[in-house]
Amino acid sequence: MEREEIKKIIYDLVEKSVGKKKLKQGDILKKVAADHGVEKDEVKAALRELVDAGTLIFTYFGGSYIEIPPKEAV
Amino acid sequence: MSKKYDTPLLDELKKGVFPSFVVEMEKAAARSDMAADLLGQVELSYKEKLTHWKHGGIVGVRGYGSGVIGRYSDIPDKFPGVAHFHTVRINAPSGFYYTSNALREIMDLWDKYGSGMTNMHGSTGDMILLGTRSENLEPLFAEVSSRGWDLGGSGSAVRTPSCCLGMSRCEWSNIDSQAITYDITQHYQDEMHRPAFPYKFKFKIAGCAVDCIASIARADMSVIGTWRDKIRVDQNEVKNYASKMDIKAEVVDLCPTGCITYTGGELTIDDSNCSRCMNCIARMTKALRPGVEKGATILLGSKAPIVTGALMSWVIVPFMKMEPPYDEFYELVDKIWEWWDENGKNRERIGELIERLTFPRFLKDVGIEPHPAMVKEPRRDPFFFWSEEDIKR
Repeated sequence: MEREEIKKIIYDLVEKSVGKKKLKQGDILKKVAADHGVEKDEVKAALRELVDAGTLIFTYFGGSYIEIPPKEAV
Repeated sequence: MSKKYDTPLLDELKKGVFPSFVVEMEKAAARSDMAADLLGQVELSYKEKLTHWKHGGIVGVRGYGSGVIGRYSDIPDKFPGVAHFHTVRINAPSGFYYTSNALREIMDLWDKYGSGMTNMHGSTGDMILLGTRSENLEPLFAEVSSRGWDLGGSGSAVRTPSCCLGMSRCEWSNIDSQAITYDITQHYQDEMHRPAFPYKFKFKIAGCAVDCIASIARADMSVIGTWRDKIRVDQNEVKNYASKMDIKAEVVDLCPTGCITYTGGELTIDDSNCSRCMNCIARMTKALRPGVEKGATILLGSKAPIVTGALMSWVIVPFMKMEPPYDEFYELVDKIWEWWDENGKNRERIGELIERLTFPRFLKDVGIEPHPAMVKEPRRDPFFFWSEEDIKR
């Protein structure tokens, strides 16, 4: 699977979880790898690109989560 | 200079014999509004017995999920200087060695972008810079990283590994704790800066069982230098010690496994029963030395009481050669993290997970053979593997 495709899957997953469940990095790696048959390292690399670009961010609420930055979530 | 706020409760803390953080904050308040307002807010908290900090949130630098701890005042109108008061963790060098130039460099940057106040060092192993605003984080990070520094760990990540002074100043160190700490830091950069775990994970590396860094009580994984062969005994030096100390009372009777005898002026050690605690060696440094076949004992699971009570670490590998490139060590760590990732609940430390699922289950799943050194206390040993059928019977 292409890197851009994985990135889209990750973003969609995080977007769908807004207001329902905060996702940890581990949750995303497990879910995307299991649902789409992609290696966890591939998912991790795609997620890192999203975070480096600022498309997704780390947040801390008693634990560390991956979320959409406030402006993009609006 | 007059104080911005009356602080009678904080003033009480200056009256004891020990150095007070209040004195240092007052010095900083003479040139920093942040420090002045911090005194005011802390005084109010003491008076009301209520914190006025909001913690966490969406604060950090681009690409990293660690290294910045968000903190805001919940009464910013009253104390505008601490409306934002984020903490920045800077990865400290192994053994906390700095040149004075390096310290000046960091402090100049912190005067420019933050409150000027620090905590040297936090128990996380970092240099902790206390108090800055959100808009100062990226410029500070750019300047800090351009000078070769990096942020440390925070959140559900590998925390900045820390160690004792090791071989740099201590001839009793059985492993190069500083080299190992540096290697772990480099090896796990991704796990440190991009939190992926159920909760935090701390490494602490001690050169010997004296454990000057208190790794056994503070680290999820402790690496403690040890030896596999026999303690080296210099009987001539034993005789010298006999003239100035009570060897039976101070060494023999304090041996936790009772493996030392002292008769006819000769000290004898049954090394097969020695637990390598270092007590005898630390008391008779000229007469006793560790063996020559050196490595480390790996322990797992300690933590302070945050979500649940405090735990001390358990031995999981009695002896491992700790030599570069440390493949055996990293393979073990990765297997443990995989098990934690599969089974751990949110905010559950590895030690708590072992408590919940049991130590035998941990050993079985991770593929570690039980060993007598793993017995932590009576009725808490790893040798009972009850199957479902056994329980039904």
